[in-house]
Amino acid sequence: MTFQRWLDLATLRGPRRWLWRRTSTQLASGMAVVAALALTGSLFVTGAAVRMDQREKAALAALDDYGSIVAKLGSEADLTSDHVTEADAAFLSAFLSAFQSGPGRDARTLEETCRTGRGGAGVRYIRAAVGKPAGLAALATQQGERAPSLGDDVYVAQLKRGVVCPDRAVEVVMVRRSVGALDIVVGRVVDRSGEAWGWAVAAVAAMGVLLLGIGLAAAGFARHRLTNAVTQVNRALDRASVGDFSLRSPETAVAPELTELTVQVNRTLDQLEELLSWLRDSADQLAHDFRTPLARASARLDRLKEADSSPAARRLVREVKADLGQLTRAMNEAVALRDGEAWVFETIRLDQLAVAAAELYEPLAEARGITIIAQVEPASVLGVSTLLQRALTNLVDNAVKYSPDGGIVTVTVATLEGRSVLTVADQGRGFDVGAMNDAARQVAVAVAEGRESHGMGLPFVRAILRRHGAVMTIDDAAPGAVVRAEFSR
Amino acid sequence: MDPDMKIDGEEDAFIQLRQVFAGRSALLLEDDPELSAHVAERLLSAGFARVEQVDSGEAALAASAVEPFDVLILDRLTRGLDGLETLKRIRAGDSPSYDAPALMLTALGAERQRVEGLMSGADDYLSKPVGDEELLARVAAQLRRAARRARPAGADLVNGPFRLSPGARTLKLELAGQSRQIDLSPLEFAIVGELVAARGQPVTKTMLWEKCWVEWKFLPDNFVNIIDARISALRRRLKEQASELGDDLHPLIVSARSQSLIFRDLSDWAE
Repeated sequence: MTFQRWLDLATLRGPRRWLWRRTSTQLASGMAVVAALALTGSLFVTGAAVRMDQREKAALAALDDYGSIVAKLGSEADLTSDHVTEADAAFLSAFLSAFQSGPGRDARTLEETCRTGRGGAGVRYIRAAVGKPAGLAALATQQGERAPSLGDDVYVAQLKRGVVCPDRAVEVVMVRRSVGALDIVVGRVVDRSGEAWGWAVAAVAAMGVLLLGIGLAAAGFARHRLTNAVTQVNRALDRASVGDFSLRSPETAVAPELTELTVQVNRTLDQLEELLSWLRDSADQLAHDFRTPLARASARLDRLKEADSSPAARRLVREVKADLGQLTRAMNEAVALRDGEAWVFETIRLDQLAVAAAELYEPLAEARGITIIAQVEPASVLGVSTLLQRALTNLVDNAVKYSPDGGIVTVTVATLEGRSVLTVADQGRGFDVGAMNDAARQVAVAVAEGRESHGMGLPFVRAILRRHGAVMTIDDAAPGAVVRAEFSR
Repeated sequence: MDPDMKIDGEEDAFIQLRQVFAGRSALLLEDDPELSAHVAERLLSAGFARVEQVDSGEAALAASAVEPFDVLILDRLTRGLDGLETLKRIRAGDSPSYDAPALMLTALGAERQRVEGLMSGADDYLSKPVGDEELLARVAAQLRRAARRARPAGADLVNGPFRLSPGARTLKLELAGQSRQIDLSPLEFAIVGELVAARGQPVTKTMLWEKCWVEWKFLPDNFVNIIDARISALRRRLKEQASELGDDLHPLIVSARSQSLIFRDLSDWAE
């Protein structure tokens, strides 16, 4: 119950509603993107931790180097600035220069560091109170940031490209201390991407790509399967909508999510087919039940005509025959609308039908000096050819019948915003538009005015047009009437 | 001259049909006794020698197995075997009537059912109610067709000075050793073709509609007026192009009873 409510889109609000409106593909892609983002985030966190670790390593190495230097300096380290002579300074400078690339723990040569970007190379700088300083001058100018977490007097500095390495910027952790009269800076280049870090990045990146790929593939597959199943269901429904009930969608083979729906759709199609075939068979029975007595009555009238040839009897026979004719026609129309032909739709060129109807009535119109003008442009509708023929002949017939001699009947077919529009206009006296659009009243009006055919035919035309999803309207064309049908498909 | 006036000997084109019907036999399958009696009576009074009335498909099969019939007239919805199935079995069997012309006379008149009927071996398909004129003209047409089966299809039809070639779709007037083509539209040619092929026998307007207005698979309300208007124009055209025949032979197409048309039989015509 609660789940049902949760599922009910109408009651959902806010983000849940938003979430519910996403397609499975969008959800799956979203999940893949979120997973990739999470991985990237963890990559950054890991990266920061690894960097910190590398800095610590560099700091330890630098402190170690510093210790070695101080140990080597020995007593020289005790010299204070007051006692340093020019000679001492020169000595120390030479000593340090020699020591510049001296051995150290895990050291790489500067050349190797610059080439590979791996850290470990040692950098040094020493300055006495007098004389020329030795080592990398940048270490003195770039103060860097003090990093107490790495040790006392430890600084981290970013050295731009060209300072240490000709084409690489490097990070250096250095120990900056004064020993007696000497300012000593000993540092190590920090390894930006420790070997483990490199592997971690590669693994995480690969995992991200893999996850994204799997996510998208799963979403794509699910989508393809669903689309495929929906397409098959749609195809069956489309065919059914034009009267062909031969197609059913496979119930289990395509998408398990849709099995229930497909079963239901197929069951509905079965029922619809059954209903329609019942309708058709009952229409056949109806035709038989009507036509047999009609045929008998007509046969008896023939006999009556022969038996009694008085003018009154002849007139009555003629009138009864006309009545029977009308009954037959009404029945034919009823059966035509319910017959099997009436639900198998095909594509029909409305313009060609209109031209054919105009040509059909041409000699009849010519006899009264009436001109039928067909103004058509190509337009197709889905429909039943014989029914549309009936509607068109009925309309053109009426228009000719009610045109004044020498008048013009205009049949047009046009396409308006993708819809086919048919009009049949005459120049007759027109009719009470309000009344004619009211199906119930129009027969009464027509009968009262002594033009049954006009009144009798139009409901049939209207029924046919409605069967084709068309709306029929009758307007005053002043003079005359214009019947307009707008098709929706 | 009133084109619809009755012409001696031609109006009773229907009476002339007696010669066609004389000595003929029909098998009539109809389960409504009154209708059956009516149709049988009409056929007999029109000249048929014998009408065998049956009210079930099985009886029709049995009757057809015994002796040959010149025409089969079958209802569709009948007791026992229905008319369609009966016809299929007659056509598939080796009874003496297996290839007799068959006319379905039925209450099921929709296009689909018509096609079903013709596919099952019927030669014509009529929906009830059917007037006498229609029935007799249709039966005559079937007998005519059966007689014509012997001749090669598409052979020229000659009616006096007119020579109609169905293959070439031309109508020629042959006068004084000269042959001249009559200019007709395709529809007019089809109408003349149907009428000339009837050889002076009546063709009802319904038959004409079915044969010549083939793309219209139903009868519009006033198809009679449509045909009449066409025929008037056609008469004028024929008169203009065959004026040598003399005024007393025009119109060449005349009316018979209320619903039928005849192309005059000019076989006795001499220049």
